[in-house]
Amino acid sequence: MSTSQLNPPADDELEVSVFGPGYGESIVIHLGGGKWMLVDSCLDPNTGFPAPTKYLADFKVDLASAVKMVVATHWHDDHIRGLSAVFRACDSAQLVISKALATNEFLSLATLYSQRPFAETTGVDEFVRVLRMLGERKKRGAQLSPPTYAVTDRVLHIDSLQLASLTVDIKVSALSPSDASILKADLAFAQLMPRENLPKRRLVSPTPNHASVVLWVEVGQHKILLGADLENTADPMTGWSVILDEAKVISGKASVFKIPHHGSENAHENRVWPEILHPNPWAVVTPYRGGKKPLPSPTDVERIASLTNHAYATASARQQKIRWGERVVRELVKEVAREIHGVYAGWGHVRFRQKITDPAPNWQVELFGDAYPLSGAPKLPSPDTIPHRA
Amino acid sequence: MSISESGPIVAETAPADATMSTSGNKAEFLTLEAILAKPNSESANRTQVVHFNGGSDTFAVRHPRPYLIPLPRRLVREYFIALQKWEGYVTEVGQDTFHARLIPLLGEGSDLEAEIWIEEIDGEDRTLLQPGAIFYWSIGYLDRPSGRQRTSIIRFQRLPVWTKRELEAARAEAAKLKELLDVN
Repeated sequence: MSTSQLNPPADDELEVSVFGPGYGESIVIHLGGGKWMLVDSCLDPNTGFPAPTKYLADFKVDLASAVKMVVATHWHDDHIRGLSAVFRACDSAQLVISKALATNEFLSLATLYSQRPFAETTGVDEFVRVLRMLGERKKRGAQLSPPTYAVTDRVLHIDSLQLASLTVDIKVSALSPSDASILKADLAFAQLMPRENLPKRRLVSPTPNHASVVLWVEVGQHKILLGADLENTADPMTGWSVILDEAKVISGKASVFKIPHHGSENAHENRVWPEILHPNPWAVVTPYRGGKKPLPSPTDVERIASLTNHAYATASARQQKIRWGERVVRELVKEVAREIHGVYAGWGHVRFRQKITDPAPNWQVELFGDAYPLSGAPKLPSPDTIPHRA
Repeated sequence: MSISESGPIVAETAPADATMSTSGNKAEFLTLEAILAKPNSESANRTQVVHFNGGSDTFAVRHPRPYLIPLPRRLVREYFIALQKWEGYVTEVGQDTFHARLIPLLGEGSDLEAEIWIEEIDGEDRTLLQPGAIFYWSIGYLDRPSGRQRTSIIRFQRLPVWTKRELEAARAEAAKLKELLDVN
């Protein structure tokens, strides 16, 4: 980790740090006054440790007391790796999960697939480990604090901060899932539940993702919109449409936007930008190369860059050359596979910091590792920025 | 005659005029291979009772004098030298191709996403080609006496079926988790 990356924020500084992709993505937010919240978890590919807790541990943050909230936006592997270790370390943190994941259907599915007969995790095993940890805490005699369920318009966390003579209100709310989304997610989970005497297979995630938790964070005058993996659908009672039409907790406009679902076209809703985002907001996207097509696509990058000149990515989604060990392997793969690409897209950290007492948004941007500005965004000075690898 | 599918077939040797009973006779148990390997004189003029393990039916046969039969030696030897091996799972199945995630088990590289031609899968395995199916893809050399051949082998894993017990256990475990979640 670079030296400037190790500088903790001041008590009166708001911070949004986005890590990824490595093995997933994760967001760390300093709410001010040494209080933190963590959203999702991913593993730092250099160390194998969960990125959010490693970052805070490097600041000597007392994870057990300083982290107020741990949010699992959904159960997909790229958002949840290492979350059980994060939750164990953040002993007093409130766990927030999607209400869509507290149903019998999902829990049956999760416990069934939590013992996997193959190498790669599906995400549900990590999710079940987190839930079992609640039981462990109960056995230890700790007062059992059940998860807080995220659902549209639910206020998840309220606090205040005293900065000199100024009292700053902190409020974190969920904008999703909607009631209709929860129902759809439940139906999707029920369909995935295997029947007796059918052969075992790996759990394949249903699409679109109806369970994802979108967050609205307010610290004083400053608002942050974290889009998770929420996609748009044709149903106006789900996806982004219902948030824009129905959500009551949104006040003002967010100046920071974690772009949903790796910048995909499916997750883009034109109305979001003028209706609930500050003009020219600070936006960040985490690439994902695990699907059929790497995200964001060049078209997605173009679209995002046209909407703001403060757009950044934690790493590149561009094709990287696969290093084949043996010539014969490369040649046979070309014969057998029509297309093949690496899933790993690099590892980076985009950090936005802002004085809480400043009335207007004026976020300072720092880029670390493979993070880079999307075209149109100015390259910001950071002595430790490693240029994007071609 | 009932024959156990899983149990080994064993042969019991006894004096020629004895009435054979599986339970009451402390006979010498030998494998069929061992009987074949015994000197001819030892096995001559004996009655052999063959008992199929797991079944209750037994019968006695007069065993012809066995002859030593030399085990056929393998004349052809093949070796597969794996250079790269992945565990994969199917994410989507199309008309001519399927998409899969590949996790390296042997050789270079990190996880890959591949679109693979369905024609590369043999007929029997194609029935297993569904989202979530697990397979192994090995690439290497097949060394034969006739020469070396570059080889790509994709084999789908035949996982056991979900049992009623597993499904019920999952539901019971889910109910316990639900209790933790519903404290309020």
